[in-house]
Amino acid sequence: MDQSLLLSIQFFIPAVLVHILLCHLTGTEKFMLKGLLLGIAANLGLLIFLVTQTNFDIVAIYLLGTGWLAYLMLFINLLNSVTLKMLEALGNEVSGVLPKEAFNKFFNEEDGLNTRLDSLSLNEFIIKKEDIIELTSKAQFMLGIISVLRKLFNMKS
Amino acid sequence: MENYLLFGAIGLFIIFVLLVLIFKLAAGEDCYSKMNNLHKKIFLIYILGAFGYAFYLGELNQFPIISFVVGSFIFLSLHYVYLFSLVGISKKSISINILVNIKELSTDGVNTSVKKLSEFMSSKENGLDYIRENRLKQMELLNWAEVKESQYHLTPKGRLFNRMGNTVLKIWNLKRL
Repeated sequence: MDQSLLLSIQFFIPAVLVHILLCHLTGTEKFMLKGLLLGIAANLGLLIFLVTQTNFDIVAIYLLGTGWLAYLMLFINLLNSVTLKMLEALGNEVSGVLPKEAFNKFFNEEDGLNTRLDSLSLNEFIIKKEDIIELTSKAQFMLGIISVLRKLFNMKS
Repeated sequence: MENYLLFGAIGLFIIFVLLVLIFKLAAGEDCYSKMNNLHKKIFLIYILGAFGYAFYLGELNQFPIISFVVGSFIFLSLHYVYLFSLVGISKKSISINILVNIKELSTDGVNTSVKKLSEFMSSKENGLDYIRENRLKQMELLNWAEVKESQYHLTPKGRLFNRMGNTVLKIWNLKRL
C-alpha cells in the first residue's frame, strides 16, 4: 500500500496545482463542474499510467478519487456554508461584535432564497421564467436519489 | 497484516453502516453526533485490532505505519466523504430543501413563484428563518462566537477559522456565493 499512496500523491499534487491555476483564470463560476472534470482527468491519467505498467492498483485509484472529492468538499463548504458566511460577517467587524438582528440582514427569507435560487438556476437545477420556477430533469433525477436515501436511512428533512 | 489493514477497514465500515441502518441513527435531530460517536468507537476497534494483530504475529517492531495510515484513511473517508456527506445533503442541504419544496408546491398544482415559495417555506419547520437560527446556534456550539445580551462576540477560535478560510479562498482566487 506504500506504493499506492505514493502514486496517488504523485497525481494529486499536480492536479491541485492545475486547479489553483484554473481558478485564477476562470474564477468561482461552475466551480463544482470544473473541479469534477479535473478530478476525472487526474484519475484517468493514473488509470492510463497503471495500464501501461500492467498494474491495476485499485487502492491508488480509490485514494486519488476520494482524496480529490474530500478536497472539493472542503471548498464547497468554504464557498456555500451559511455558518461560515455568518462567521465572515462577524469577522469583518473591527469590534468582532454584531447584534443578533444584523444576521437577519445577511440571511433573510428574501435575499437568502434568491441567492440560492440564482445558484440553482446557474447549475441548471431550475429554470426561472419571469417569476415562475420550474424544476429541470436534472433536479428531478437528483430528488429521486435523495428520496431513496431518505427512505433507506429513515430520515426527515 | 496488510490484508487486515485494508479489508478490516472495509469490513468494519460495512458493520458500521449496518448498525446505522438497524438502529436508525441517521434519523432524528442529533444524527450527526450519534453517527460520529459510533464511527469513532468502531475506528478505535480498528486501531486496537491492527496493533493486537501485529502483536499476535510478533511484528509489532516492524508495524507497517504507512499501510495503517492508508487503511485509516479508507475507513475515515468511507464515512466522512461518502456516507456522512450523503446524509448531510439529504437532510440538511438548503438547496435540496428548496428543490423539495418547489416539487411539493408543483405537485399541489401551484405555479411556483419566489414569493409563494418563500411563504411556503416560512410555514414549515425548515424555512430559511429556521435555518438561520440553526446556523447561529451552530456557530456557538463550535465556539466560534459567544452570545452576550443578544450580541454575538467573535471568539479567538472563530477569528482563526475565519482567517484560515479567507486565506485559502484568496490563494485559490474564489469568492463566497
